[in-house]
Amino acid sequence: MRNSDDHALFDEVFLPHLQEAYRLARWLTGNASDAEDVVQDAAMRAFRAIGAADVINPRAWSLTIVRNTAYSWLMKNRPKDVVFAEDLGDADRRSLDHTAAERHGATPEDAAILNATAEEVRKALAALPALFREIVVLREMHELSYREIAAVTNLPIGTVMSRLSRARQLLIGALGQVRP
Amino acid sequence: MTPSVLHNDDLTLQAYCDGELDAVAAGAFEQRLAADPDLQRRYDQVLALRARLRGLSEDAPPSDLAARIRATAGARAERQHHWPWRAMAACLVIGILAGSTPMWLIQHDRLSDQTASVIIGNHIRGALAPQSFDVASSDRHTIKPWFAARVAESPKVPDLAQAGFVLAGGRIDVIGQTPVPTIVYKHAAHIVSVTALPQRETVAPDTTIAGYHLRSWRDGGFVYVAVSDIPESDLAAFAQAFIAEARQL
Repeated sequence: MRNSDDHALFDEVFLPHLQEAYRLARWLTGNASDAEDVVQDAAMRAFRAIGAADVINPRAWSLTIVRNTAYSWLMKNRPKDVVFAEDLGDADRRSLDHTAAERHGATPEDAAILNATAEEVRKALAALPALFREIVVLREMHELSYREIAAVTNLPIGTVMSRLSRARQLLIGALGQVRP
Repeated sequence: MTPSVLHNDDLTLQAYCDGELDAVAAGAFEQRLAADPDLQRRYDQVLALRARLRGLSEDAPPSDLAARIRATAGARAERQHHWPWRAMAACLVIGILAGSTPMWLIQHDRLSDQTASVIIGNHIRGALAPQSFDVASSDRHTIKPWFAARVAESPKVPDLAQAGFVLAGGRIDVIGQTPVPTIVYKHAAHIVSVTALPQRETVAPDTTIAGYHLRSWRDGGFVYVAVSDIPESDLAAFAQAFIAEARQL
């Protein structure tokens, strides 16, 4: 049973972060209508949980629910897009290492990154595996600290740092190849 | 340079770009950055990438999304709030028969739940901190006046060394906006926190949350809540000893 306190709490805790919630869902699902579904679903989860929750950081709490809802959604609708770290095969690891090696060889100048079109940047980000994409989005778009990202993704800080580093390597590599 | 050194360099570089290094580490890294063109190039790349990512235009959520979410979340409660008067009357009768109205019960339980989780949170933080109290003393004559100087009413601080619980100190926790005294006891490698809540709080049933046992009782002007990770039976023994000793004071 709900009472008016839950509504007040919901208005105070979740709704102010709706724009960010939508933005995160947009990057994780890849399109507007799915993002909307995820945010609606996340809002209902937040509303149900809010009475019992002890919310200390409303923004991180809201983003955590959106992130988890988006993952459930991806698992259900696009299971192939969700790659877990343990599932990364040797080929993927080689290709990641390859990109890393390229970075130290004849490689992207920051000019190449600066000259890529917005569409190319968007595509490169969308092409990242979800586990790397979410970290980069939380850091660069939402400007969360490592500690906050660790809380939202429920990962150790060390993993957040190494995934962020990998994600940036991949993006820099991809954008460098766009304009040789 | 070995790959692992490169990797560590890279993590430091990332942390520097993300403002996660402390002043000393950042200063040291800036010196290295100035001396190392390769590092400088990677730094420029990370910043260029950031500029591009942050420069991407973002779609705003549909303008009516908030309204729709509110409507969905609100619809459920509307149904429950605007009961037909007959149903409300019936509910009231049932409520009176049961000795209390359902709403009253619900709000009551929630209050205890929230308070309980704050108390456990404080206990966990206390256990992780270098010391779990603001004033360290095994002498109840030191702790009691320390509380008296900080909160309106000072709780009883019984000495339970005989029962195996050694007084370690006291601290002030804040629940909602109310400062409340908490007494800390040591039991072998464990600590037991006893928070003294104002009388208006209710005694909650014994419960276990996230591996911490919680036991509360009313005594004099306070509701005492003990929390610890010691076995439930030990905590029960602790509560008994506390009540017995406090009676003597």
